Amino acid sequence: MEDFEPKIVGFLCNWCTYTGADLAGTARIQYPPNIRVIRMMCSGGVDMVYVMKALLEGADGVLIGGCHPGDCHYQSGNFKARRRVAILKKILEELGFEKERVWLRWISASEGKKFANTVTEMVAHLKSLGPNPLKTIGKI
Amino acid sequence: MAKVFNTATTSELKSFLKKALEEKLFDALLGLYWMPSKDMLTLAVTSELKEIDKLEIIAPIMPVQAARVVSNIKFTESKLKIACIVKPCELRACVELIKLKQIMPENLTFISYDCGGAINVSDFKDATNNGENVVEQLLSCNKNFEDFSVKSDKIRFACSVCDKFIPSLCDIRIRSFGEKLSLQPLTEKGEALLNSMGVEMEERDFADYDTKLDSILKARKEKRSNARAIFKSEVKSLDALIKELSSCIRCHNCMTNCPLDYCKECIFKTPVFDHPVENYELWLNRKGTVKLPTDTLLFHLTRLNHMSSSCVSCGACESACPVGIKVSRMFMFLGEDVQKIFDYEPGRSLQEELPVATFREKELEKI
Repeated sequence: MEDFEPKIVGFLCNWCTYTGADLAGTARIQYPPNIRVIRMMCSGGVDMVYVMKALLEGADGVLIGGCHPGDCHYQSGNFKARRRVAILKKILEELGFEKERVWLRWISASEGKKFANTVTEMVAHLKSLGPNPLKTIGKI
Repeated sequence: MAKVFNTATTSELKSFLKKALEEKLFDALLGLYWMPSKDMLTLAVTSELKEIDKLEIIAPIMPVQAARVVSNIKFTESKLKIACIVKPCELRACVELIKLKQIMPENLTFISYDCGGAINVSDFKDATNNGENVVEQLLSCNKNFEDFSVKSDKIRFACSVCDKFIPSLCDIRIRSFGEKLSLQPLTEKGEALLNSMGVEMEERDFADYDTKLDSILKARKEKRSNARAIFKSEVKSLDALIKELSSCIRCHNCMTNCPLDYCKECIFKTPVFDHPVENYELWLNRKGTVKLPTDTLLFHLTRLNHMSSSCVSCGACESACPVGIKVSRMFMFLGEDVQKIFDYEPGRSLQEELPVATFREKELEKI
């Protein structure tokens, strides 16, 4: 398990978290290279089908990054994302799947450091959880 | 005490509806009608008086969820007035679809009744072809305040654990248990309809009626909570979910027949999952084996995420499943868990906003 490197799929909002990730890069802040970023126009555009598809295909974690409450570029996308994530997590929890594999975080365009810290924390957390059981589950 | 219009039999009730149609209080009547083959009831809407003879107002069968066919009507400027006789679960689905703007209720009158439950279409057809009168069986149960869902050995699972068999948001509620059938208006629309008919309204004491229905309700609630506990003990891991769904052929019948799966542009109706061969190459390299058809688990999880907050527990999904997956219990019980987060109950109120269509600025702090 020691050399297990989790894979994280990140759905990041163009206006805040994606720009925050960019800032982390331009500021040369170091963080683990375990995240694969997909740029979304808004966290409210992240359909939970994307999140589940990522998990079912074997991603060890999914990070959804949105603007802080009240800061959404489209007024309320992040509030809607929060409800959808709450529903997804409830269903995963009831089905005995580790809901902590899905993170929803508010990271603004100026919070490059917070983005780097979030990814670092998430990698550590996923390492302690171990590989996503769905990698092998459902195999015939 | 409530002011009601009493009728003694369903045929008396039928002549009342016939008269209402004749007097143009509505232009058409939607309900369950006998097919010419006389072995099956089908949903239909008619404006012909003589067709009302084929109507079965209260019947233990739900061939297609009525909310589905009502929401299939494209509502325009037309003022065609339709009275719809629906079961309580169909009514709750209609309420959800009204909130989703899939049904425009202005020219609709909803008539619903205290429901004893239903059996599956194929069982109904077999029974009628064997000379059984299932409709009469239900009515005689109702007459004696007996629960048809307990008496019938063919009862649908969703009906046997239904604890919302008394309609609340219809215009007219038919109190269908006991000696008399009482029409109780619950809205101004319903009251206006009964008034324009000039029928004699009587005060009737329902204390005894309500007590008897309460005991049926109590028994059903207990059954429901037992079924819930069984589900929770059987399906508590993704392995168990995969087992539950192992026979799924991904025919999408559950989705097609769900009244709440109304999206015209559903991702599962598109070629998104007709993956290019490169994807298979990738999967074969990574996993070695790919189950076909692909994305079966994703299909069910997506439905859970998208519509469980509005699941009305009608069981249309399970009735439609060709391989007998107990799909309705998954939706009704996980749906309840989801609805609880938002203190939401589908079909309870027209004012309550759908959980996924709204938000609060301060909520769910720990997500």
